[in-house]
Amino acid sequence: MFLAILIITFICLLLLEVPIAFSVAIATLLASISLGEANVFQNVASDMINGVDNFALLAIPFFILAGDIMGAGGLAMRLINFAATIVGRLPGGLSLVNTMTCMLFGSISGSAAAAVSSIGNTLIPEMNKKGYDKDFNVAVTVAGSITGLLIPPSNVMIVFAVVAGTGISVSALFLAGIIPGILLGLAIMLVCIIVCKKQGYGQTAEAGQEIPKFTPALISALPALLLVVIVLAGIFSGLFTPTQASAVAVVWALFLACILYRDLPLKALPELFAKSARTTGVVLLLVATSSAMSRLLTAEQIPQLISAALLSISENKIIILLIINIILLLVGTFMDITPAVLIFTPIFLPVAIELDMNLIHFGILMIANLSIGLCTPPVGTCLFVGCSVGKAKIAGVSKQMLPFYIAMILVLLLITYIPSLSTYLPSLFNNN
Amino acid sequence: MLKLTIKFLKTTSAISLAILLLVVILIIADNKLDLGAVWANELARFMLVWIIMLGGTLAYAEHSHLGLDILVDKFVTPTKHASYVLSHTLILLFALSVLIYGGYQLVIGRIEMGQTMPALKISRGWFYASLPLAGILISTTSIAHLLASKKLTSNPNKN
Repeated sequence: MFLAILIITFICLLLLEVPIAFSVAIATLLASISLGEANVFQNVASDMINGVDNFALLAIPFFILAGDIMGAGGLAMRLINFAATIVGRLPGGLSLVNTMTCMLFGSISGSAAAAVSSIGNTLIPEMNKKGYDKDFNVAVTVAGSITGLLIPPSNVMIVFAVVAGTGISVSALFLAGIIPGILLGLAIMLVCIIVCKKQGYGQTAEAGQEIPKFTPALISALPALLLVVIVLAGIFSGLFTPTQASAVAVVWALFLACILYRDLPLKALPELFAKSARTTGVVLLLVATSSAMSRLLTAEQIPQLISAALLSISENKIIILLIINIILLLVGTFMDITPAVLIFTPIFLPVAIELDMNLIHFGILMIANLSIGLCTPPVGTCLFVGCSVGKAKIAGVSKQMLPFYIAMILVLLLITYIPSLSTYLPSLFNNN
Repeated sequence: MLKLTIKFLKTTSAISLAILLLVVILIIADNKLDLGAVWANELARFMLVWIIMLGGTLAYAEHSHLGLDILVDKFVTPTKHASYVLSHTLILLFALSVLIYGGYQLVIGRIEMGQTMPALKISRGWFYASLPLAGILISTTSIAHLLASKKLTSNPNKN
């Protein structure tokens, strides 16, 4: 009964366009009242605070801030030039440059939507000029952007580690995402090559033309690339915790943008800090209210019920994982990745534990899966941003997305059924 | 009123984030140099909770929270208007009941129990005080949004 109230209110609130963070809180509140709990208001309030009173979450505002600083500076152009020296000469060169820049940028900024707008603003008009199809150009940018969620550092991984609770380290998740993220990027590039060859985009005119020289492009992009190196090397060597590394990233980004590149005037900083604090509020208020909801679900043993129900369908790991993947893909089409991770991690985690899965692997599976939903209608943040940046229609872009969806789902299947893609690197460092 | 609230939120949240940055840098220095700044860990978590409440309210004031926007867009204006009013009223009720009333009880409870943050030596009530404060700001904002809804119907293109 209480579960029905929870789900129905939640869906009604979402349809009324109440922001997800508040929808979760209000639905939890009503469900608690229906259970006749004492002190409901105080309980929800205290669950919210306890959910975010966590040292690991401190990394999120800083990775957001570092990304905003790098984004406001002239980072995109430097990365594009660097990527052009490496893949610019291949067939469909610009589309490959686009994907590779997305991988680099997404890793630095940690936000897929920011990657779409920064890179799309520069590269989509450029590709349009060179005779690539407009809808295809938007599709490439949107598809490429989600690689940044798997390639560390990644805020979604921190959120997963925090909701999954003890035993999952952010560092191990960061390591685990590297191979799947690169694999996804390569799959997207492969689709680009095939489509460009078939359609004849960028076949002749680009060869030898406007490709920057390698060394100057590398030197110009190096300080930005060093950000990732410093952060990752710092974390993996054990020199910094992820939270400390995120603060170092902010300091390095400030140094680059304000002193070295001088793209960011100091007086723009207060506005930038406020913007990052706002984004932090969006992400972590969701964490706060979702933790009230998961406390309630756990108290009522709902995850165990769902786990038992799923396992009653089949004992076969392959089939259960297939079912979970299908559910998450459906959820992803209409829900953003952060709320989906927050709501479904506690529900599916007992299943993963029951199946004796490596939980790091399970986290990568969830993130890879839900990131696909960012590029699909009806609700896909990256798709929306891409369409508005590229001035294209969702229907047209979605059609061009089809081969990319296929590539993404194939990679997802690889990630699902070959655990070592995710677990190999963490096992080398063994810093779980 | 909305403009003033946004300005206040922007300033306070930007300053809080800057302070948080300094505190975490201090924590790194403390780890490497052993300065004995144990209080910094507590302060960092304290600041984080405050930033979430301030930033979360700012996001609400500027309509930047994540949500669905498929259905109401397709409705004609009167339905759209009704759902707008209903959704902000529900948020107002949530802010009043959970954030202000529930949060206030938490603060009072902590003060009565005499619970303090061990290193900072201030009452743990301060930690929870971010909730009623966010509640007050969110209520003000939702009332401002509700008042603005009249303009929305008279000029539907502006949304």
